[in-house]
Amino acid sequence: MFKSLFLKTLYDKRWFFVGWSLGTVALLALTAAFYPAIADSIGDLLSSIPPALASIVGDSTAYNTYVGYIGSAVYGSRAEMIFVPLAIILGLSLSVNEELSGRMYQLLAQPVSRAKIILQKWLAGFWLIVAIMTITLIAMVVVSIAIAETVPYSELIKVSLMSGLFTFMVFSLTFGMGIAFGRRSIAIIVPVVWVMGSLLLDSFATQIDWLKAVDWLSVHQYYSTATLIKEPIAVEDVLVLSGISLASFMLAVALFQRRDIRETE
Amino acid sequence: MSDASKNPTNVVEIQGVTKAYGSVKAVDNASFTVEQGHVHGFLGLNGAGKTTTIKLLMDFIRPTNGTIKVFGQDAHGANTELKRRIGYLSGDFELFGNLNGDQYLRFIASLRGTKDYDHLKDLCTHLQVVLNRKINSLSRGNKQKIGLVAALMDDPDLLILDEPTTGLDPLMQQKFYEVVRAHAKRGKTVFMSSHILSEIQEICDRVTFMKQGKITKTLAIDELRGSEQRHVVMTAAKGVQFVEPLPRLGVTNVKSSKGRLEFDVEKVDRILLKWMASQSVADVSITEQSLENVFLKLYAEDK
Repeated sequence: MFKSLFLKTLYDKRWFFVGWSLGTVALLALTAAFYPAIADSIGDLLSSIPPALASIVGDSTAYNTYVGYIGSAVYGSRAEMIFVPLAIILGLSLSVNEELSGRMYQLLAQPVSRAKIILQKWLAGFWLIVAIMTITLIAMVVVSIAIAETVPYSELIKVSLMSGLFTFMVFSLTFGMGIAFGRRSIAIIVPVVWVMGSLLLDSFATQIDWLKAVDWLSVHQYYSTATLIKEPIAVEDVLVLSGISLASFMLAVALFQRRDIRETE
Repeated sequence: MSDASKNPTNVVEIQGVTKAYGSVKAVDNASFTVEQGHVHGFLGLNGAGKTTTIKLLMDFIRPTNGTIKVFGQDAHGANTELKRRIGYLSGDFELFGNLNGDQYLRFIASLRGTKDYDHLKDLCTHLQVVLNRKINSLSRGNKQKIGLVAALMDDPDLLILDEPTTGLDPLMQQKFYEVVRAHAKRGKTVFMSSHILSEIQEICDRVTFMKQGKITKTLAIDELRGSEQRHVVMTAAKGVQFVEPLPRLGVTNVKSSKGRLEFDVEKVDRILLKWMASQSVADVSITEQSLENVFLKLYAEDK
């Protein structure tokens, strides 16, 4: 368990993993489990809401089927509510929190390069997200069987993969900013502004023409489980999310090598 | 050819190093060397710049100006290689508190690629390290013991200690001094910062003084011991006031108050003794020049 920083990081985060797995499963699987009870009324309810708000909810017709409900209500709006905080908290705890608490000195006093320290922590973050997504996927399969609804496993795997990649991208962005600058404020502000800004952009771009020209800045252009459930995974979306994750990591490596270790913000 | 290759006995060479934070210079044009096989003390008041200098040496932070060489190699460029030969412990080290002592030492051993577990076990036995409890639940002293074992586990050629005895009880301090002395006896080098004068005088061979970010002096402790300089304190008989000694007696730092006279003298000779005998003395104490005197003089110079 203590043969590498990677394994030690997984050990350190074992309760984080248990807690977030339970939370994610509880939120998403319970939302899925309620489908039979609301299936008849939810479609009508959503079709009556104003267009600007509808863009936040997604395609209301998707709620008419269980598969569409999984894509829009379960992995769409609710998943983002839980995956974004998960990614930011994980990114902070593996980067700037360790540095500002003074524990980074122990690692840097050993014959391990700064790049290797960052890589092992980043990979540990990746595996934690993969593990949480896998457990959530298994829970979704179990719930679907339990409520006697059918959903192709390939669709569940598809939304899980893209949700995992989106979560990893937000994690990498937080982690990358935290490592690159050693400031908690930057590590929080960058992903939060982007994700929240994307929500606003999505809402208003349907009403304001000039915003449509910049809607490529919205993260939901590359991660939308509602459309994903109907269509195959777009390679360019995978490339954008992976590219941002990798670029964040590389920025972290480049700047962390050059800067002083900090003890205060 | 580097300075180090000209002089291979210098383990640490700090040359013209400045570390500035905006307009504040935490370390100001510092230069000094640490020779192989020595226990080299680094003395200064809190906030003098000792910890910043050590962080520069460990490549935790980077200098604004100047060069830092360890074993003749650039402290930044050859950082990973050098860390194999360096053990480091700081008095305010934050250990991974969620691990127990055994898990922590195994983890550090794996990062260092340590093969010789016997040395590690001997150290744990000698220092009576608590291995089976979470580090968070241990006392300051027990945490420091774990930190010391981690720093020494590879028998490093250079041991860097930043105020290592902070929070240790006197018995533990003595044990700590033993370990440091034993390490130096094997030809290893120790560089140790402190603001405890007795500690430096007890275990160090050489000492460098730092004041307000500047290196002010380096001296050998033996020079201090071998010096004939003495500190004299005279107490007068009741109701008598001393006459201040004449400068021709070679006295310095004269302080006089209510029947008490203190001064330093280069050498206690017959002329001085004769003068002292001529006074109405109730008590007299003549002590060796101590690090404390040097330190106090250094700080008194500004006043």
